[in-house]
Amino acid sequence: MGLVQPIATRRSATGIPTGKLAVWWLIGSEIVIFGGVLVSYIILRHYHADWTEEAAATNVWLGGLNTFVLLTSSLFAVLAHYYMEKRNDAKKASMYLWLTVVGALTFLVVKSFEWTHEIQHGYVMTKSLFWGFYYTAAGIHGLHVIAGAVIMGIIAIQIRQGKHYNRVELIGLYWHFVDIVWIFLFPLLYIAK
Amino acid sequence: MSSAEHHHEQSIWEKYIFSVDHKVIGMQYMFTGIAMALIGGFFVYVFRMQLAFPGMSVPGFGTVNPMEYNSLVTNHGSIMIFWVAMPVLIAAFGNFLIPLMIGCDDMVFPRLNRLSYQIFLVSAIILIISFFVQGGGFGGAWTSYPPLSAKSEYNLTPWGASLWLLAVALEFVAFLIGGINFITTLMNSRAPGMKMYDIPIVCWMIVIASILFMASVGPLIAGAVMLGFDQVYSIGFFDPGKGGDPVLWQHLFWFFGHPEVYVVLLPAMGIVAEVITTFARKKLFAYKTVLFTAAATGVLSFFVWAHHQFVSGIDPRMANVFTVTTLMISVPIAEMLFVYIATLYGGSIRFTTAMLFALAFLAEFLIGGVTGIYLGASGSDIFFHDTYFVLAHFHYTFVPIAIIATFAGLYYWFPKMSGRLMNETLGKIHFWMTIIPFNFIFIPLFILGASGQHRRIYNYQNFPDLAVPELQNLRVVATVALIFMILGQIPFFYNFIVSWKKGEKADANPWKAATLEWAAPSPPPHGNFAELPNCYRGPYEYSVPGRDLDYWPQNVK
Amino acid sequence: MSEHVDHGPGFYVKTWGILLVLFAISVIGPIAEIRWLTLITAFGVAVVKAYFVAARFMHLDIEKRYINYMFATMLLMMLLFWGGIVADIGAHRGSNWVRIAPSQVQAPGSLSQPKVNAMKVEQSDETTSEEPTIESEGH
Repeated sequence: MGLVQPIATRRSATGIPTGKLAVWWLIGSEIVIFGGVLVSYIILRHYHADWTEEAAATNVWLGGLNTFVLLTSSLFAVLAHYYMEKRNDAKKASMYLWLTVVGALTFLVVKSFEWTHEIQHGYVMTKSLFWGFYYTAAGIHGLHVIAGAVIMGIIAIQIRQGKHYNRVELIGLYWHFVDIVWIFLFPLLYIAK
Repeated sequence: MSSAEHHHEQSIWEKYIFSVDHKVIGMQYMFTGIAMALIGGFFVYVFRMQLAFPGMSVPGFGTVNPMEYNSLVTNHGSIMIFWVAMPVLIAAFGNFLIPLMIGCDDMVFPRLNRLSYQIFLVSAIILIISFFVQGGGFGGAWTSYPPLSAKSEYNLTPWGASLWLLAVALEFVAFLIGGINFITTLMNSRAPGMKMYDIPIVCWMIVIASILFMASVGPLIAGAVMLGFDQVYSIGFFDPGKGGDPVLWQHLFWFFGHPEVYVVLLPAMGIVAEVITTFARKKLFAYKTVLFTAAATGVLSFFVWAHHQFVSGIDPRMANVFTVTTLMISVPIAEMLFVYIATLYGGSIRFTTAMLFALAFLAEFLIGGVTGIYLGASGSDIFFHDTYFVLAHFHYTFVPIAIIATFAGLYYWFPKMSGRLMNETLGKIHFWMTIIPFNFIFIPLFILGASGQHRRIYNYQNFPDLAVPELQNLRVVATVALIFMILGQIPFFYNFIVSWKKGEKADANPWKAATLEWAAPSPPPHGNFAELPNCYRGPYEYSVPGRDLDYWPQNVK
Repeated sequence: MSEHVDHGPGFYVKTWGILLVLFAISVIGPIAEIRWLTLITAFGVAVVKAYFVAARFMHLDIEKRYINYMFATMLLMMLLFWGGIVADIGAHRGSNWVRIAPSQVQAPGSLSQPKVNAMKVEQSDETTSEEPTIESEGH
């Protein structure tokens, strides 16, 4: 497995480290993916005034709780970056990364309660196109949360082994993006009824 | 050096199957793309035989029933665009050339590179599997409009439709990942001294194409997820009965679909630029113009998409807008063609096979481009939409892009990839047996389209106006020309395979070109350069006055 | 790495505090049940929150400018996409058409009266899909 890192990876003609540049482009591509779903949703939601009835069933308190959880987890992520980069403290950084992961898991647990409740009351994907969008948009977002949490855990372990310190910032950037998507999903799915 | 030891210990698995070396991965993409082209080519042979000789058993396939016909045309289109043009032009040439041309030892993320190929390979396998499942391969056209594509009671290929969609989605993911690699590598890993305007045009084009792809594919990925849910759970994103809208799919598809054609065009133009500068011994006439018009084309390509939907019931006010923008986009591309012609003017032209293909690209693409004007104007498009005129137009653009430019690139860089030269005589036979039949296939199709022959019909004998002998003869001409064109590829394959092992040995720079890849050995070893080069000048310093040699390599002080 | 910035942890905690305040506003806004107020508090606040996360947590305020331009371009693409399709997908009527879903049509012979082939499709809908009744020479 021992891949010798190519010299190419260490060069930086732009001044931005390679890994970070890649994450910026990754986020750019994700903006248009989520954008596609959300623009379609916004237009159809506006068109279908009768979806207000369906939308009334979303739980703004659980949605709000999840918003709080993600905002706080973003704080933990940036603190992890601070401790890694400014204080060179892998132990503290790792702790904050794990706290972020806890935030992610909390988000998923809350969401699973929310969705279970909704499904049991008959608000399933096939009930109305509103719910189709609801589950699709939140579902794609949820997959990104899961992926982010997994990678974050791996990085938290790696920095305790003394390697890949730069990745703390990178996963943090990804995580903040996931947070920003939710910042827009929350009003779209829960508040704008 | 630990990398050298590592190299010695490498098994066949590590060296060729699970390699992380950009050159090997590039070749993997190349060979997969060529294999898929054979499949796509076989499909076109079958359905063109059906069109020319309806109802007769096609040698090598049997009789073609209507459902099979739909599957053949759908998968021909999908394969040629997603599994041939994109992997060969972007992933194969991009992977092989970019690190070499910017003077570094690999892509910045070698393992991600390998992963993107693996995902791509899985997507190709899934597509092939879709041909063998119950119901057969998807037959709803490469554009996959719902409700045909969403409801299995309409398309009659429940498994095929979903597998096709999955294959396309995975291919998109593979190219998103690969694109990040290319963009980051070009931005960051250039040789010391290589400024922005010293980068060879083909590298710029591949990276701009990757950026265009990245910016445009998002909505379609979203749409693919929605269509998948429609197929499996009948959610109704595109079903008016459930509150959705089929035109939404069209917009999601074409918002990507139009930039996509420039995603494949730009790398092809980049390859042509490299070939013509080398074999005209002349600088590119206006490097910055080419670069900025390529970028402008890319930007403008986002504003034209609904010209595919003029007759779909879009708002006519939008149709006005899209007509204007579509006609505008022909300007930057024409500009690039003018620059290429100006590059040739006064040059010392050497007609190698690569150069012949590059010149043919210019001539054939020109025809494709001007016929697009008729389609971009919404008035005339009302007549031409969904006729063979459209088909002939896009083959006059796509075949130069995916086939002619690819051959130009293959003949040009074959010595670098293999360390040997291809046979020029066989190359010229291949060239003429490709180009001449190509025109005999598609000029009849322009005429057929203008006569009202609509697309995606399995047997024109059912339409009295179109079944007349004059038109049927044209169909036969096109099919016979296709057979010749297919036979004409035999010299190429023979040449390629035999020359790889037994061709005349090539040194590092057989064409006396100036760009950095020619400074590496042929073929380059792992790590590419014994000593990574510096860059001292632009990429096309040919025939510089006052110098002995007619080329001045970028890495020579 | 994000260079010459020496924000201590307090800076980030303060930003988090601002985010929570904004979040509270967005939740309280709808209670008044005034539509325009809800929209401003919900979406306006979302934009401001996103700004704070992007600028301060992602350090985009000190990142190279062209990265910000790249993101702005992606967002503009989405705006372009919205603009290009809203006249079609978002409108109930155009200058010459009205959009009614087939399921909403009450009387036959009205606007969306089924044309001949639509009827055929409906009928073949009822046959099972094991026998594709495509008489190729039929139409």
